[in-house]
This record gives sequence, structure tokens and C-alpha cells, in this order.
Amino acid sequence: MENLSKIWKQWLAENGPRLLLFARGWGKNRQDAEDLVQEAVLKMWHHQQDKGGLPPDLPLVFSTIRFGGLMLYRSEKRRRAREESIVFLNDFEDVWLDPMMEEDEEAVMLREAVQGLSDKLREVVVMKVWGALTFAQISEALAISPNTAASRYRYALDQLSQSLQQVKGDRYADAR
Amino acid sequence: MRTPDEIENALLRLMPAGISVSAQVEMEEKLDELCGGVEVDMGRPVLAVNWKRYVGIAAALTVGIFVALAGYERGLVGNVAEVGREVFQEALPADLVFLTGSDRLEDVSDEGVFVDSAGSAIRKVRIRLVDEQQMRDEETGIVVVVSEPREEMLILPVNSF
Repeated sequence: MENLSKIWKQWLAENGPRLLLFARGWGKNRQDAEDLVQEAVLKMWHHQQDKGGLPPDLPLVFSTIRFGGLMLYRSEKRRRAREESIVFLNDFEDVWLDPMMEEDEEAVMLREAVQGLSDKLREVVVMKVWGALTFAQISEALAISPNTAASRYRYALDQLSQSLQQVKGDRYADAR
Repeated sequence: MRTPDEIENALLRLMPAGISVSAQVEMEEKLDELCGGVEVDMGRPVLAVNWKRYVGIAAALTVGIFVALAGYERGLVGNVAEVGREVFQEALPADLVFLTGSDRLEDVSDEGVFVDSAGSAIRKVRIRLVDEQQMRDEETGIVVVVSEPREEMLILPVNSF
């Protein structure tokens, strides 16, 4: 017998960072993304009660975060329309991937390139690389075909490769 | 140009940033509240299977899987996405149907001009808003209006002449 709270906490410790990374595509800052993760985890807890109470499969959590993000996006869109002339003071460093893990310049460029991907491409990359989901699982979470998921992934890798090439080329040109 | 495999390997070296300590603690406290001291049995029952008895069932299952995969390939995907949407909407009672939503500006008051830490002039404006949602109870026909008033402080840059 194991304590249910301990099981959920272990699950959260293992998957929290990858869920947060996925949520970053929907929240305008880290706090929004953490709120989205928290909301999804609590909703999943209730959802799992009639299924034995154990933590859910990751694709379902990704999907729940995505719908939470869509609701947040709608509300933010209304707010932006009202405040479009306002500049918020928001100059703190706010990164999606952990800069402590980066040992070289290329990793920094790649991190920035991932943040610069379009939403559709980035969510597939996040689920595949850091969520370790298969294309079949990604297709279920996003309601797209597995072929579409795979082609978005290939296209994203291609774009990341081009972005790296471009940045390196620009730097080389500046250095000359 | 880097190959897709090289890019993939480089991506795997990047680790997602962790959840902040405060958010982690908050979530763990909520999980503690929800779970209480519930214990669960993680052991799985071991099944003794007589394979000869199940050959026919296995054949039927194989056909079933092919049929299901054919449907899957035709675009019958999105079950998890649908459940995800349902999970998100579980907060609403089942018989309530969402009708409309609005974010209404109620009041604006000028708090004056201030100087921020960088020495720039800013104007603070306090606004009061009401986020309103209308839902209809399918059973009784009653329309429920949920209003969530809130206050926000807007920071506007002030141009100097």
C-alpha cells in the first residue's frame, strides 16, 4: 500500500517541468503557466477519482492544459483589445528552458529558437522531446492525425536548424 | 546545416525549467488536502492464462484492431483531446449551458503621475472591471449570471515635452 498524496507528489515532481514548458506556450509569463499547470493537475485529480485515483496519462494532462490555455487566451485577447496602448513594465528574465543546463552558446541559441517557433510547431516539439510522447499520443492530445503530428515535428526541426544557421551566419558576418 | 537527428539530440540536452518552489509547495499542499491519508494498492493481479483457450479471442481482437486502426487513419482521432476539453469543463454543473461572456469596464480613476525606479514618469490608472458569464440551466430554463468584479492598476508611460 502506498500513500496517494505521495504518489501524486512524485508524479508532479517528475512531470511538473515538462507540463510547465508546455503551458508556457499559453501563459504570457511563468506565473500564468504555473497557474495553468496547477489548475490542470487539480482538475485531473477530480477526474481520476472514479478511475482509481492514480495520476493520469500525460497526453490527457497536455490536452487539459491546452484547453485551459485556450480559455486564458480568449480572456487575454479581450483584455489586450482594451489595453493595446499600454506598455507593461516587464523586464525580468523569464525563460522557458533552464539556462543552468546550457553549457555552450549553441544551446542558448537553440533555446531562443524553440521559443520563437509558432504555437502549432512548438507544442508538438515540447510533447515529443520533453513529454516523450509518441506521434500517436500527440495526435490524440491535439486532435490531429499522426501524420500531421510527424510532419509538424519534422518541419519544426528543420526550422530550428535554419534558425541556428541564420544566427551563426549573422554572427560570422558581424565578426568580419 | 544540422541534420534533424543532431537538432533532436541538442534539444534533449536542454532541460525544462522547474516549477517555482512556491507553486510546487502550493500544489503539494492542495494534493495533501485532497488525498488526505488515502492508501492505494499498487500491486497488479497476476493472471494465469491458458493460451489455447484464447486463440479465437486473440484472432477476433486482431481483426478488431485492424478495423479500429483503419478508422483511426481516416481521421477518427481526438478522443484524448475531447476528454481534455471535458475535464476542463467539469467545473460547470452538467446541465448548465454557456450562453455569453463579457469583460465590462465599470470605472476608471486616475491615481496620478509617479516616477518609477528607472527614473521614467508613469501614470497609474485604477480600473474596475466585471467579468460576466451567462449560463442557462437546461432543466429549468433559468438563466444564471455569474459576475466576477476585479480591480487592476494600469501603468502608462508619460511622454515628457
